[in-house]
Amino acid sequence: MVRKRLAPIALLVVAILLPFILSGDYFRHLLVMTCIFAVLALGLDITMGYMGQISLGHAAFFGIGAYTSALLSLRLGVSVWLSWMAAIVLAGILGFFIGYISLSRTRGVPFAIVTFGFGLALWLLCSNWYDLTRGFSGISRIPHPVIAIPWLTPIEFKSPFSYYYLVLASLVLTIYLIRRLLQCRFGRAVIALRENEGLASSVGVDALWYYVLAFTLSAALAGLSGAAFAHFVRFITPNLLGMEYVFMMLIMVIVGGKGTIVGPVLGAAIFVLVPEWLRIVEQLRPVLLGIFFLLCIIFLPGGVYPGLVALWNRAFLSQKL
Amino acid sequence: MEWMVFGQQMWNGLTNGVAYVIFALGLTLIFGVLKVTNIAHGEFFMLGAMALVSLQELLGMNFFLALILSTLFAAVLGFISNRIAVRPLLAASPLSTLLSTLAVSYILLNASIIIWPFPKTVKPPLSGTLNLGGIRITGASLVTFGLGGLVIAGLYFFLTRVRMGKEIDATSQNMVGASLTGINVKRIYDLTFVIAGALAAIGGGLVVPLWQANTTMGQYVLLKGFAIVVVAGMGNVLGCLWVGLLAGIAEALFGQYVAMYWKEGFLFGVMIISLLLKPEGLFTRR
Repeated sequence: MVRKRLAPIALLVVAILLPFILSGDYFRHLLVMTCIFAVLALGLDITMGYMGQISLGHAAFFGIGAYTSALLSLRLGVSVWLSWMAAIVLAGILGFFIGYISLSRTRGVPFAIVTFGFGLALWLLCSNWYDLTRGFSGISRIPHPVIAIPWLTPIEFKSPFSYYYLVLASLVLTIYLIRRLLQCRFGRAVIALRENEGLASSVGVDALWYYVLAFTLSAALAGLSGAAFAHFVRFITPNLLGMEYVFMMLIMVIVGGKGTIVGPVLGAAIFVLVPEWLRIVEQLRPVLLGIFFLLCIIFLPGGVYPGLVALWNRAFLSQKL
Repeated sequence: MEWMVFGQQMWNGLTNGVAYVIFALGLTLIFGVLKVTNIAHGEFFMLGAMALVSLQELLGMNFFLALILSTLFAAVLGFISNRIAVRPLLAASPLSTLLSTLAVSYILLNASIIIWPFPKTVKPPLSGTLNLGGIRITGASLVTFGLGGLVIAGLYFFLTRVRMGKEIDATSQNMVGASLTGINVKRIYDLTFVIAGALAAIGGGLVVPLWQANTTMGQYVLLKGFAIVVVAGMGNVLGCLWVGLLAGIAEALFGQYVAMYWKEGFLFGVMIISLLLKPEGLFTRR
């Protein structure tokens, strides 16, 4: 039991020390991307792992988060922190309405297609509303987050090094939030619905309400990730809402292991790091990634993390028993 | 003048509609027979179009011969996709085949981007333009309409009159019942994917002279195919024909009279509304 409690703290210490071990902006940049995408994957995993549904429109929430935060801070001069909040709230509101509309009638494959449709609609909105989003020219020079402390030089989250701690904090908060939710009535209700909706409803779990709430949370986390992405990369285009990103986050959740906490984080790390090692075959990267994804779906449907846990148990626990 | 614009858009919509129908028929067949949502279907369409362009460009092949060869190519691809990505997962939930075909789609798309980095155009198989009281009917659109109509009629004949086609229909209606009467269901699955791949490639080949051929065309048409299949009711072949034709026409008129930029989104709006009002499809009797 002690080891179980120590493991997260040890991991956190390692995560805090990582930028010192892996010096150089290049590695720190990868670390930041891992954290940003980990939040995204954890958000999508609420839909895929706990609700048992597939959302093919989640890139829209990511993109809306990025656009909201970028436009508010750039055009209206709103503080970056407030615009992050606005991104989370707007993505959440959109998630609530889209979730309510689609979950009231559909589950499974039709749900995937309806979310695909909503995602496409938002993508069209972003690429055609030129006055607001400047279409495919994209939005650039998005400001950095800054903490202004009276009488001291303000802390600017500009370098990958400082930005890493910012996104690490949001990742830790996200993980904490999901852990807590899983332990309370809300989490157990959602999982019960995934296992058997008819049975769960018959004992008084309001299926639509819990599903919509879970989907809202899932969308809000994608919005948070989008905002973090926008202020780090500082250049966004409507592609953030497109199929490429839908595919990317599905890979992270499925390859890592859906329905777990470690899985999506591991998936994000795999997704960010593996393509970097494949740089030698630059053009073939997406093809190889796709093949890897396909192999994972066929041979490791639970994902890499549960596979690793099973291996570990077989190697170390069987001797004790 | 006004009605001529209308007539022109009707014709343009109708020819596009024929291509949509051919594309969506494959999608709905796979859904009806295997209960699989084939995300890779759009890439079969795109590969059919790109293969046709390359055969014509590199080997100087005749349009019709190139169309036949690219159709065969996509049929083989359909067979391979079924064996690799669909068959091992049929026992799992329908969502896992959705994901595996999504992976196939991603692999095919990115491989094609390497092979064909630039959009392509071809010369029309039939030059010349017919002028029908102000409505311009190009030779290319006439080929699309005529050949497409023949393919649709041929498929209908196959599914209702030929034994093998009837076996497909039977499997679609009741898989267990079909296998009890001695139909080899696994072979029917292979056959369905082969036919669907071929149909997608024919659809892709037929639009090449009308549109520009590029690697993203598969994704666009996939969205429209979904819309048609969902509105018609997933697996409903006849419904698919009417909805597909209507979709092409409605989309063209919408682009002309309402908003050009939102043309792509129009079908999706219709799809979402239809799915929410009647999830089993508008053309399916309860």
